[in-house]
Amino acid sequence: MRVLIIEDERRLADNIAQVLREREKYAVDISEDGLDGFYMFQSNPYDLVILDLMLPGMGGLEILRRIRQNGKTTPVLILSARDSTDDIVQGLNYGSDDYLTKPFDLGELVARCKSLIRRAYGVAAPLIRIGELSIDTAARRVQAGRRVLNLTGMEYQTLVYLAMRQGQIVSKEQLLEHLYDFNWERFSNVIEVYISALRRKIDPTRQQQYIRTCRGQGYLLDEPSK
Amino acid sequence: MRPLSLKSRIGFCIAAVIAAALVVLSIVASIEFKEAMLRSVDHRLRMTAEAIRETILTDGFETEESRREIEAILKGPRETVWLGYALWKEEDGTIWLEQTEPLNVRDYLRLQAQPLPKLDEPSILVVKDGKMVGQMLWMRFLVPAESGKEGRIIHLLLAASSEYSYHETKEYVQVLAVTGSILLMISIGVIYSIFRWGFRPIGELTERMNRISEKNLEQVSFEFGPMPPELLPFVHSWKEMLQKLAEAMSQQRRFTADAAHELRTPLALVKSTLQLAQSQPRELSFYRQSIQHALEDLDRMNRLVEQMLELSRLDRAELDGTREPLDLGAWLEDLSEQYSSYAQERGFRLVCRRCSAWIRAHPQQIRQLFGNLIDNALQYGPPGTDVTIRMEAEDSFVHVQVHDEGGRIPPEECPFLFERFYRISKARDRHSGGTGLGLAIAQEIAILHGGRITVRSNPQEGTIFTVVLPLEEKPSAS
Repeated sequence: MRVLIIEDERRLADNIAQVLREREKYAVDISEDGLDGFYMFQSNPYDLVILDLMLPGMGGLEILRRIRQNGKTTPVLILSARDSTDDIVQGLNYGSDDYLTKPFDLGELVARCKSLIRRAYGVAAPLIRIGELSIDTAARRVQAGRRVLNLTGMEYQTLVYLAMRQGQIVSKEQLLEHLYDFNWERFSNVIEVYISALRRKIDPTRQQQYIRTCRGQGYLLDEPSK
Repeated sequence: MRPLSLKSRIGFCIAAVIAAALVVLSIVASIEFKEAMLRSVDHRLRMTAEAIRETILTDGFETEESRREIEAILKGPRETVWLGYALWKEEDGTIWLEQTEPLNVRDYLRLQAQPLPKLDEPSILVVKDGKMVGQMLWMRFLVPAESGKEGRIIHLLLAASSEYSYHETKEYVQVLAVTGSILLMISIGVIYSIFRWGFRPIGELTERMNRISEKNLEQVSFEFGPMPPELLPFVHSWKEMLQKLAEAMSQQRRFTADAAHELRTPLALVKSTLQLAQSQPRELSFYRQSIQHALEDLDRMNRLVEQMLELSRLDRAELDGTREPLDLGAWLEDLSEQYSSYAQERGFRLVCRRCSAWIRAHPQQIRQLFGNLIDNALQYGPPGTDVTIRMEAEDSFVHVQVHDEGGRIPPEECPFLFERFYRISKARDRHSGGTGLGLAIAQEIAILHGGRITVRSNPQEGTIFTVVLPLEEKPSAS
């Protein structure tokens, strides 16, 4: 999952980025300027935008208006020091999905981010079940049958992304774009490495195939065909 | 005792005036009425006397004919009640005709010691005997000599009761009193309703004022429709006061909201930094840095709170006696010396071109004013350039310029620069450590010292803040 933070208080943005990276293994990009932030949003596929309102370059509400004008449905969480009901109502009416006032709790922010991303993929329950595979996004725990899988952060994120788009073909590029931020050196076979590790961990015997490869198109996570 | 309302006061006064007028009018009217009644009694007496004289002159004195005629005359007007009468000859006093019941008129006349009336000129006197009241006519007239009879003088005395007149007057007074009271009541009622009608605008105003509270001050409508001209100045000054109040309140509210906003960001920083450190085991250096950051943020909050307090102190400050004469030139040179090493650290050269100028000032506030301006220049000017303090005394003012080489402020933003929490869009980043209050404080101080502060900024000249302060006579050396 890739998150864009547009917040001019650099250290606050860094703190949020760090907690999202550490706890959820999200890919996080930061922009301190409104205009730059908007360009970043346009040129990358983000799963969530965390938006401050008072920004240099371009105001948060203007960014929000443009995002929605372009028809993007990306969830936007406004993070602002303005706490009046009027401000909150205005923010939501401009098309934001959530509004959190400063100072906030990091844990709450992370939970809201997760819920917004889940919703954006049409998943309401924090527990995703696919055949015998169950992914508890709240506890970040994956089980295959009764066996708890020991996944690395990136393996977990790859699995969750595929699970969110269960039954759809996800291209390698999409996986790369949604799992990595600007700071990562992307090398093309990293996805293959994760996929094969995931397949091995989900089913060491290799009898059931949860993740299928669609040649030339990408990967697809679904119940294994009998 | 509760003071009487304006309505009752004016109402009572007018009612009292009306009552007094009514009483005076009634008294005059009743006196006049009584006089008129008495005059009509007199008139009847005279008419009757004249008729008797005519009868005697035509039909002769002491003739049977005229005696019948006279009795008919006296019985004639029913409304006259005769108290008594007498007819006698003057020469020997022999009475021809007389009625002594209920009053012996000749006896009564004797008691009165009335002077003898002239011939043909009847005199009238008032009769008052016990319960009896009336008017009496006394007339002498000449019966001329004729056919063997000598001419002689005849006395006629006629007394008619005037009790009826008094009775009528009494009734008249009673009627007057009753109508007067009724009139008075009606006029009090009318006055009261007139006042109610007249005072209605005041009542409406009061009601509108009562509905105003500090919460709806801004929504108050200042339109009143037609107002009596007497109330207009009152309404106007009231409006003006309300508008000023509303303005001050909204300014205050904005300031509070801005202050909360400015405090929330460092709070969010401290909280997120500490939560992040707490969320999982970290290396020692991470904790050290978190603490360092949290302390910096607390410093920032502290500075903000200090400056807000300073502003609120300045808001309340008035011209006080703590000001002292100050040689601004020498003082600014001192200040720039204090700042010079700090400026050097930041890569600036601080230049002070002083002249001698005495002002009357609060030293601490003046230090804050120029300190803020120098801080500002060192903060935003391009490092490696000069920050120049220039001063010039002109007429009764001294102009001090703080000049840096950065022409960073867009001209359209200059007027807002001194507003609280205003930051120009380019310098909105908070890393500079500015609170957004420094220039507002500087302006507040300049105004308190009877001066002003302006700013000019463009890429050619750089940014120039000009402080204008009133000059003071140089104090004689003591």
